[in-house]
Amino acid sequence: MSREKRWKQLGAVAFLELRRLFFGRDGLTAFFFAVLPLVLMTLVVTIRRQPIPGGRVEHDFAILFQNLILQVTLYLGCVYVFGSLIRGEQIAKTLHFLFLSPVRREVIVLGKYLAGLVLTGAAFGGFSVLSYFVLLYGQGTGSLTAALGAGGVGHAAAYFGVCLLACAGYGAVFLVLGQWVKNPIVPAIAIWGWEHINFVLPEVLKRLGLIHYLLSLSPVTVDEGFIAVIGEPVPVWLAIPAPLVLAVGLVALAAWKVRHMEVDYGVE
Amino acid sequence: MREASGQNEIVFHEVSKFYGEVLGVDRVSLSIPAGITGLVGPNGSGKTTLMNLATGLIRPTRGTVSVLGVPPTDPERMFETVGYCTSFEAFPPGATGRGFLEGLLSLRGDGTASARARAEKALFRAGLVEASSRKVASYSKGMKQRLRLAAAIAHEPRVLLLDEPLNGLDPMARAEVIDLFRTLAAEGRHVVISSHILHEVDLLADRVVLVKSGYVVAEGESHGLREEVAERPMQVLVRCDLPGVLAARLFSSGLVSEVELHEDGGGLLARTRTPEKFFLALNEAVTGGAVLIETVTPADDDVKAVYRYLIEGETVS
Repeated sequence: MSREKRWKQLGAVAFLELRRLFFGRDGLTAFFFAVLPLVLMTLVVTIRRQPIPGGRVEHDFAILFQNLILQVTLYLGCVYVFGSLIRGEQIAKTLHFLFLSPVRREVIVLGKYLAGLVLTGAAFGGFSVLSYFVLLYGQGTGSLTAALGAGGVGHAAAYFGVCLLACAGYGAVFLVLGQWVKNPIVPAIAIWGWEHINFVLPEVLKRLGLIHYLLSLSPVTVDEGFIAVIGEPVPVWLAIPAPLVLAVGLVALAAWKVRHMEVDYGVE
Repeated sequence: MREASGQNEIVFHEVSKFYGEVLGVDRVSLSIPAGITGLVGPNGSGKTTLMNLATGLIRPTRGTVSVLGVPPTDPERMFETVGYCTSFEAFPPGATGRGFLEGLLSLRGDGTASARARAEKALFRAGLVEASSRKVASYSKGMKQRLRLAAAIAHEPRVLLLDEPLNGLDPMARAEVIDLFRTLAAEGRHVVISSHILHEVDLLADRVVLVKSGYVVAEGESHGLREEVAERPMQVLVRCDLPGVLAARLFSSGLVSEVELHEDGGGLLARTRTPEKFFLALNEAVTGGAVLIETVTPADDDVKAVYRYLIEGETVS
């Protein structure tokens, strides 16, 4: 089979998956989580009459980004989207349509993963950046333009990039969990707990949490509190490829699993 | 022993499938040539398991399967030539009939125009053009069945596996779909139809494979299947002028195990384990002028009779 045809098939799998996610409950749930910080930011800006003191805006948004977006909404969105890529189709009894096509199962997994990444990356990255802009805009006339001129564009790009990396890493984790575990919520909660205690872990163990690499890439550093174990941030040259390497490894594992997968939905 | 690499056949070679400790099928060896083959058996007998094995949806615990020489582990090659109409009822959410088909064709690498044209042709053949722009969720059971059929034939496969394809179709639609199967078989394709409704298969199939509790209990041409049950008595209906005389003659020759005389006195129903000798004896009776025979009809030389013998363990009355 030609490489061109395989690329076409990859695109077709991704397109069909995006359509499935748009029309399905899991995609809508992820969208709800993605839009939540924007709604919150809009409410804060609307309700709070006085501007946030200078210099605090970036800091406050970084707190929101690191604690609400990265560790709650994006995380949960990834559980729903990536956890359902294979498992969701098994439950809906539609997986066989893909398996009965002349497409390598590895291509199916990759296409689905990319669709999940596009959806979550665009939604969480996009709404995070919008939330950031709304907070800046709420500080008074011309504040948005001024902030963007003073490095805000770079910060926005960094937030978007961190979201993409987070979706790539967490997405691959939940893609695999969705295949191995009937109810991925339980291990998802366990991983969530591990990621949440990362700030009190010793340096060596910190590096076993994806959140450590993501926070190292955050454009604004936030004090993690008096009980936090202060560790060196991971350098950019390691913090960027680490989630990607994790994702590649886990997607390969998912592809291996799907290659050996049987579909009978319990019939006969 | 059958070759596991038949280039023009669907080949099961010593295939067993267990779901944990539950038997799916056991030691199945089959070679299915072109034409219409009926896979007949009651629910849970292993028909769907055989089709799923052939298409790689499930893997055999033992043995090998190939379709036109291609193993199911090579989906890129296999599904260029195989179409499978499953009995799974679900469809992806939000899709229209046409959009669903075009999506499937795009997976094959078809461009937009090609996918549209092939989808249109498949919809036409399945009789679903008018409803093709509606959401699949609004389809009736019969329309969904047609759509599954359209999906299976859209890429014009050489091999069609159809799991209970007539389920949910009204009589008119059944007739149309049966005609379609005949057309597809006449084009030289392999058409394998599973069903638990016997008369459908009996009318349609060139060959029949009977499956019971995971085992193939008989296979062969529809009418030739009688030979598969040689240990069972064959029933023959004889209309003649002197049934009592004929019955006595047959009994004395030891060629029948049981004879029932018709109430109208114009015939009998005989059960024999040696049909060839039985028919010879009938000929001798006629040529010897003992009786005048009007008609001789095998009373159970159809799939239904064999099915009853083998699957239900009944004697046909």
